[in-house]
Amino acid sequence: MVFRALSRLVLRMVPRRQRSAIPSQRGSDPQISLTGKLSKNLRENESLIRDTFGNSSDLVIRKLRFGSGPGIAMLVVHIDGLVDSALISDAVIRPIAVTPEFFEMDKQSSARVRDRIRDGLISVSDISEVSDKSDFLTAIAEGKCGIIIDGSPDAFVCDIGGFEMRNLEEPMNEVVIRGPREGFCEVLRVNTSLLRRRIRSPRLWIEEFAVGRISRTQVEIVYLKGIADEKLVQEARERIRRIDIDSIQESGQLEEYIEDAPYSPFPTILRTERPDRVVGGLLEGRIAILTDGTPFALIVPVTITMFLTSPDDYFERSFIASAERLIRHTSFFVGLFLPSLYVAVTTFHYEMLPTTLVIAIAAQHEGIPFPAVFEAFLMEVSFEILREAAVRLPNVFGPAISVVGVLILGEAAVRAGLVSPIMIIILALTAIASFVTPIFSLSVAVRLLRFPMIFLAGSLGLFGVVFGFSIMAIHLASLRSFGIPYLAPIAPIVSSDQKDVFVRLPWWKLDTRPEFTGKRDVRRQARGLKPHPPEPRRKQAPSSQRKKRSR
Amino acid sequence: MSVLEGGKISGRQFMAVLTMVRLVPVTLVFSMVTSASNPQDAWIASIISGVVAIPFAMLIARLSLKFPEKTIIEYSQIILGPVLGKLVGLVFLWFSIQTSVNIIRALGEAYAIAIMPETPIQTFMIMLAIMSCYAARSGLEVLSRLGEDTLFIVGFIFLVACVLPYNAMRLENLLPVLAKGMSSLIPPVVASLGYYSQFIMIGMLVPYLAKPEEATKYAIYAVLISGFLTTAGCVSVVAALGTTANSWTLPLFSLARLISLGEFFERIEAGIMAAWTLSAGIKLALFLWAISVGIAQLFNLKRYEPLVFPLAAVFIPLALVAFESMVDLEDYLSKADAVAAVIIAVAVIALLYAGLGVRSFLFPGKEKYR
Amino acid sequence: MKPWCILRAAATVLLVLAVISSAGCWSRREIQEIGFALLIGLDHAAEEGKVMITVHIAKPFSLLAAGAGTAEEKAYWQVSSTGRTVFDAWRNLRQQSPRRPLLHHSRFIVFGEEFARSGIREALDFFYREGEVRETNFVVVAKGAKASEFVWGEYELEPMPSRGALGVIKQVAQELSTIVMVTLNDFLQMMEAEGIEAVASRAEQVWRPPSQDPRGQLKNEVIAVSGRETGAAAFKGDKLAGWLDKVQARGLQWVRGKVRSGILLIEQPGKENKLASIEILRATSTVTPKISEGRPSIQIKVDAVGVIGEVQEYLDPMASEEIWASMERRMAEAIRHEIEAALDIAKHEFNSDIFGFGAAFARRYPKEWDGLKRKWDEEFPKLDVEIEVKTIIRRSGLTRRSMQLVRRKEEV
Repeated sequence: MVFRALSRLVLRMVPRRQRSAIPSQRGSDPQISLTGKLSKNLRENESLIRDTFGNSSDLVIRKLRFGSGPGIAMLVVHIDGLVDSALISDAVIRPIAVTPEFFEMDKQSSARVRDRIRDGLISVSDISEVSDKSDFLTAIAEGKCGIIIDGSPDAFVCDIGGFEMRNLEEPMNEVVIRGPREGFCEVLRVNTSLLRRRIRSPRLWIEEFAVGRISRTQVEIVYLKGIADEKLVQEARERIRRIDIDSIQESGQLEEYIEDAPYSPFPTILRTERPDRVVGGLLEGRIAILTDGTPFALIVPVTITMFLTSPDDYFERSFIASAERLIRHTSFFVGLFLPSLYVAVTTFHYEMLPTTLVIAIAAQHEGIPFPAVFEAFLMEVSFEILREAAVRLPNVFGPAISVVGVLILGEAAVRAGLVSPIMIIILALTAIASFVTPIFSLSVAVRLLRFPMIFLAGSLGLFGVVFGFSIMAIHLASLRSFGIPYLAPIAPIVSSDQKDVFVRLPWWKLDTRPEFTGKRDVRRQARGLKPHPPEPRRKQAPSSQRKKRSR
Repeated sequence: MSVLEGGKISGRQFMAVLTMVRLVPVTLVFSMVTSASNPQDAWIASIISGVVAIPFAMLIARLSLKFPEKTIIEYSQIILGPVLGKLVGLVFLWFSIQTSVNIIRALGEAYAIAIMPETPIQTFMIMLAIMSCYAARSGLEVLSRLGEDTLFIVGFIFLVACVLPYNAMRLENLLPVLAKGMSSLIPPVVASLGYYSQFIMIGMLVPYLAKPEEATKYAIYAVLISGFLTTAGCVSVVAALGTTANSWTLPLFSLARLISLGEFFERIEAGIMAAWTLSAGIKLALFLWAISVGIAQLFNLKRYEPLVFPLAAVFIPLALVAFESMVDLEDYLSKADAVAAVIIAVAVIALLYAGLGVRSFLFPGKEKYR
Repeated sequence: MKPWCILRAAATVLLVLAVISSAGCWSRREIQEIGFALLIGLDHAAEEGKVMITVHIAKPFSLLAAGAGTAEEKAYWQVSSTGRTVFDAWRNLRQQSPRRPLLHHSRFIVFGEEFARSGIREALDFFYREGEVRETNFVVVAKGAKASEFVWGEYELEPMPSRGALGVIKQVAQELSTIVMVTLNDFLQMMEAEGIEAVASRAEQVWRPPSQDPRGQLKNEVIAVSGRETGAAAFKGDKLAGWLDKVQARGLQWVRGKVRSGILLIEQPGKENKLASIEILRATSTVTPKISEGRPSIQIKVDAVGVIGEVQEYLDPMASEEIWASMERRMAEAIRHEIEAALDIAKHEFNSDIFGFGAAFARRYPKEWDGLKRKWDEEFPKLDVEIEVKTIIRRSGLTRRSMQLVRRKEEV
C-alpha cells in the first residue's frame, strides 16, 4: 500500500509531458492494415474497400467494364447518402461510358485511361490522384467519389459534393441549448449519412438486415469497428435475425423484440432522435440500430445514467454541465419519491417536520375529507390526464391546457376543499422534476412507479418507501442491457467511470471509454491535454541555475 | 467451480457485504453497549475484539484459499470426509439460520418499538424477508453490487448519526477509562466477537471472488472498517448518553434521536432507521443466499433459487417463536448467542485446520485439492 | 416467461398487498386527526395518589382564521388529565381530546414545584420509555406554582407559549447565560450518574397588574401572565432542593463551562458608583479534583474573555495601563463572586453537588471515589474549592476613549 502510494506520488512529480512521451496506443484495428499503396489488381482493391468498410450497406461500388476483348475494368466507389448519386452517374459514369475513345481500350491501356480522366473527361472541378490505401479510403469515408482503374497503381478521388441537405428538423423531445440542431428523419439513408458526416472514418461499419416477412423493413446496425465489442455486435445481429414478424413500422416494435427485460418498467434500450447522441454512443463502443421509416434510433447497450445525460452536457463547459447533471439526478429522485415521502411524513412521521411546518400543514388539511394517500393519488392521476391531453392536442392548445389545468384546476381544487395547497406544491414540483429527465422513456417509468410508491408510503410510511426503493434497486441491479449491468457505474461501482456520471469532468479528463463497453480500445485521447499557458522562460531559468550549481 | 451460481464479485464488494455483516447488529441492538456493565469502555472492547477478529478472518480466508473453487460446505467434506464434513456443513447452516432469524426479529422489533408501535411486527418481518429473498434470488452478484452501494449510504449515515448529536456529547463521559477493570470488558468483547464470528461467511464467498487471492486482504479491510465504525458508534453513544447508555434498548437509535440542528433538522431518526433497513436487508439476503446455496450443495441440488422463499417463510415464524421480546432477544444475542457463535466458529475452523493437518500428515505431497 | 412464473409473480404481489393493507389500518393517522402537544406539565392531582398532566395542544385551524391567532382565540388548547401513573393520565387525555394527542413535537417537560419537591423519579420513566417524547425536550420546574396553573406566559410575538418560552430560554442561555438549559437527556444522565445532582431550568410567572396599560396589542385579559425563564432548579436526588437565582445560576454555568455570553457589571476604576458593563465573549473552565493527604479539594479555573460594552463615566483606557488591568481584575472578581454565590447555596443550603465535583473525582480518582462516595454528603459541604479566574478584556468596541460629553457642557 505504502509503496503504491509512494510510487504514485513519484509519478505525479514527473512532468506530464515526459510521461506522455511513452507512445500511446492508437486505436487501430489489427485485422486490416491501412498502410501501403493501393494494389494494381482491381479485385484486390475491391475486397480491400469492402473489408475496410465492413461491407457496409451504404457503400456503393459500381464496376464499369468497357473496351474491346476482355476490356478494362474500373471501380466507381462512393458512400450512398454522402454523395448525390445522380451527379455521379451524370458527371462520372456517363462521360466514361460514352467516350468513343474508350471503346477500343484494353487492359494494357490503363495509363491512357488514367491520363484521359485526369485531363478532364470527368466534369468535376475537384479531382486528385492518390495512391495510398488510407488516403483513398478516408476520402471515400469523407464523402468523395473514388475511381480505381484496373492495372493502375493510382486512383482518383473526386469531390462531387452535392450532398443533399434535406429538411432536418430539431428533435422535439430532446432539445438542447448548445449543440447541433438536426435530428434524424424518416429516411434511413439520410440518417446513416448524418452519422457518416460526423464520423468520417471507414471504421464506421453499417450492416443491413431486412426485417418483416411482408414489409421487408430495412434495419441497420451501426458500430465502430475496433471499438465495439465483437460479441456485442454478434449478439445484436442474432437478436435482430431472430425476429420473424410480418411488418416493422417503428423502432419501438423492434425494441420490444430485442430488449433484455420485457417486463421491466425501465427501458434497457435508449431511443434517440439525435445523431450526436448516437455518435457519442458509438464512440463509447455501443451499437446503434437504425430503422427505416422512423427518426428514432436505438442505442444498445445502455446504463440508467445515460438516460439522465443530455448531449449538451458534453458541449457545455464542464462546471455548468456538472451542475445540470446533479440537478437532473436530484430531480430523478424528486420525481420518484417526493409524493411518497410527503405521504409518509404526513401520515406516519409527523415528527420529522419542523413544528411550525407541521402545524401549518395540519392547518391546510383542516376540513379536507380525504386521507393524504388518496389526495396524492387523486392529484397525480388528474395530472397524468392533463399531461396526456396536452400531448394529444394541437400544438397551439397544448401549453394552454397544461397551464389552465394546473393553475385553474389546482386553485379550484384547493378552494373547493378537495386538496391542500401543499399537495399542489408537491404535485407541481414532482411534475416539473419528471420533465427534467431528457429521455422520455425513463420519465414514463418514473411517473408510473410513483403510484406504487405512494401506495407503499401510505400504508407503511418510510418503511414502505424503503421497501419500494430496495425492490427497485434490486430489480435495477439485476437488469442487464445486452450483457452490461444496467446500473453500471453505480452498482457495481466503477471508479474510472465516475468521471461522467453525477458530474462531467472536463473533456481532457474523460480519457477512457466506459469499463463495460470500451474495453477493446480504452484510451480515447492522448495524455496531458490539460490546457495551460505557454511556459514562461523564468520558470526554467532557476532550474537550469540549480543544475549549474549542482555541477 | 460450483455450478449453482455463476456470478463473480470483486474484492471491494466482498468487503462491503462482510462489513454489513458486522454493522447491522450495531445499528439495531448494539449489544456491545447494552451488554456492558460499564458502557464507557465499550470502545476499548470494540478495538480489542477487532484486533482479535483480524487473525480470525485471516484464518478463515486462508483456509478457503486452499480450496479457491469450493465453498466451506464442499471443502469441509473433502477435509473431514463425507460424514463429519456434512456435519460441519449442517452446523454452519444452523449457525446461519440462527443469525438470519435474529436479524429478522431484531429489525421487526426495532420498528415495532421505535417507529410504528401499533403495526404488528409480522408486517416488517415479512416485508424485510420479501426484500431479501428477491435480492438473494437475484444472485450473489446483484446482492454484493448493492452491498457496495449500501456500504456507502449506510456508512455515511452511520457517521452522520455519530457526529451530528455533537451538542449533546461530552467527551468526559468516556472517563474514567477501565474503572471496573479489565474483567468488565469480557461481556462486550464476547458480544462483539459473536458477530465477528459470522465472518465464517467468508468460506461461502471466496469461490465467487473474481480474484480469490485478494480474500485475505479485503477480509481484513472489512474488519478494519466495521471495527472503526463500531468504535465510533461506541464513543458517540457513550459521549452523548453517558452512564445511561446501557439502559436503552436501541442505543444508536436513541443517539440519532438527539440530533437537533437548528429548528428544522431534527427528529430525523425515522429516516436514519430507514437507511439502516437497507443494511439489514443486505445482510439477511446474504445469509439467505448462503443458506440456500449451502443446502443445495449439501444435498446435491441443481438450483438454489427455489429454496430461498420457503426458507424465509420458515424463518418468520421461527423469529416470532424464538424470542419472548426484545429484551429476551438482546439478552440472548449478547450472551448465549455470542458465546455459542464464538465456540462454533472457533471449533469449525480448528476442526478443519486439524483435518487439514492430519491429511497432509497421512498423504504428504498432496497439497492442492482441486 | 412461463405462465406459472406470472402466477408466482401475481402471488407475490398479492402477498405484498395483503401485508401492506393489513398494516395500513394500524399506524396511519391523518394529520388532521392529530393534536400536536407542544409541552407537557406534571403535577399531583387533587385526588390522593394521582398525577395530573397538562398539555398544550396546537389548534391549527386558529391559524387559518383571518390572520394568525386573533386576540380572542388562543392558538392552543390547554388541557389536563389525571391518572394513577403518567401513562395512565396521558391515555386518559383521549377522553377529552377528539384528536389523538401526540408528544412528538413537545419541547418542554414542566414540573410543578410541589411535584418536584416530592420526588420525580416515578414520573420520569414514561418520558424515556415512550418513544414519542424526545430526549431533547427541556426540563423546567415552575417556581411557586403547579404546572397546570402555570399558565405559561403569553408572548406578544408568538402565538404559542411553548415557542415563546423556547425563544426566551434560548436567548437567555445565549446572551445572558443566567439560565441552566437542561435537556431530558442531560437531566437523565445527571440523575443517573454518581457524584452529580440534577439541575433544571427555572420558570416563574409574572402577573401583569390589571391596571397597567397593555404593553402590546393583545388585550390585558389575554396576557395576564408573562413567563420569565431564568435561574435554575437544583435537585437533591430526585427531589427539588431549591432555587438558584440569576446570579447563582450563572455561577453554576461558569463552573460547568456553559457561559456563552452575558453582561458583567463592575465598578468603573476610579469612579465611585459608576458602572461599566463588560460583555462576556467566551469562557472556558476546568474543574480539577485533587486529593492531598486524604482530603479532597477542587480547583476551578475559569478563563473569560470580555469586551467593554458600556461605561457610565469617562474612560480613557490608554491613559494608564492600570485602568485596563484593574478592569480585568474587577471582572475576575465579579465572576468569582457569582461562582461563590452558587457554591455557597449549593453547599450550605441544598447540600447538593450540582457542579458534579463528585463525578470529577470519580473520573480522576476512581479508586478513592469508591470510599469517598459513601460519605459524599458530609464531604461536599466541607469541600475546599479554590477558584482561579483569569480574565482578559480584548476590545473596547468602536470607541477608543469615551466622548467627554458631560465635561464640555460644564465648561460651556
